[in-house]
Amino acid sequence: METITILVESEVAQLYREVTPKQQQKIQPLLNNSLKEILVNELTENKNNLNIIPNEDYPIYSPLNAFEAADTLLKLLKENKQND
Amino acid sequence: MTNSQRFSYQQINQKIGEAGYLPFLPITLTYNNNSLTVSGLLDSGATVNVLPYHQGKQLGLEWEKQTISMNLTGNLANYESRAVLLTGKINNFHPVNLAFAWTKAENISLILGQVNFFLEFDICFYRSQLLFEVKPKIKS
Repeated sequence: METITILVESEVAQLYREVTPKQQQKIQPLLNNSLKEILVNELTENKNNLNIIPNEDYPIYSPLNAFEAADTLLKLLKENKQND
Repeated sequence: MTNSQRFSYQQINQKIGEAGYLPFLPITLTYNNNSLTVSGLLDSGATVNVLPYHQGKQLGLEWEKQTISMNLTGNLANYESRAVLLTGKINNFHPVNLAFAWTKAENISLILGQVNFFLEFDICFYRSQLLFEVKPKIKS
C-alpha cells in the first residue's frame, strides 16, 4: 500500500492497466483510497499561507450562545450599512 | 453557472486519522488597505466571528481605538474582546463586511461563526468526502 501511495496519478493508472481483472478487483479499494489521498494532498498543497501546521495543537474556543456579543456585532453592521 | 466553490478539509492532526480534519477556509481580511490571508475555522456552533489578537495587530488594528467592548462565552470569556469591522474576501467572490469579536486571546485560529459569516454565506458540508461548499447568500 505504501508503494501505491507514493506513485503519481499517471503511474497508478499505468499500473492498473497492467494487472489482471482479478488483481484489479483486489487493489481497487487501495487505489480508491490512494487517489483520494492524492487529491486531498493536492488541494491542501494548493492553499497558500494557511497558517496551519500539521500535528500542532489548535484549541478551539468556540463562543457558544454569545448572544449579547452577536447583538453588538449586528448593531455595528447595521450602523455601518446606514453610513454607506 | 454555479456560484459556489468547494474546498477541502484541512488535516490538523495526523495521529487521529479521519477525525483530524477540520473545515478551515482560506479568507483574505482587509482593514484600511492592510490585507491578511488566513485560514478560518467554519464553526456553525460559534455565535460570532472571532479574530485572534495577533491577526488584528497584523491588520493594523489598534486595541485602544476600538471602543466597543463585548463579552464572549466559554474559554473566551476569560479574555477582553472588542468589536471590529473588516472586509472579507474568499477567492473570486465579492468582498463582504464581516464583524468580528477581536479577542486578546493569542493561541486560537480565526473563527467564522453565525454572526455574521453564516449570514453572508451558505455552507454545505460533505464531511465524508472531506469537502465543503461555500456560496454567497442570495440577495433578496
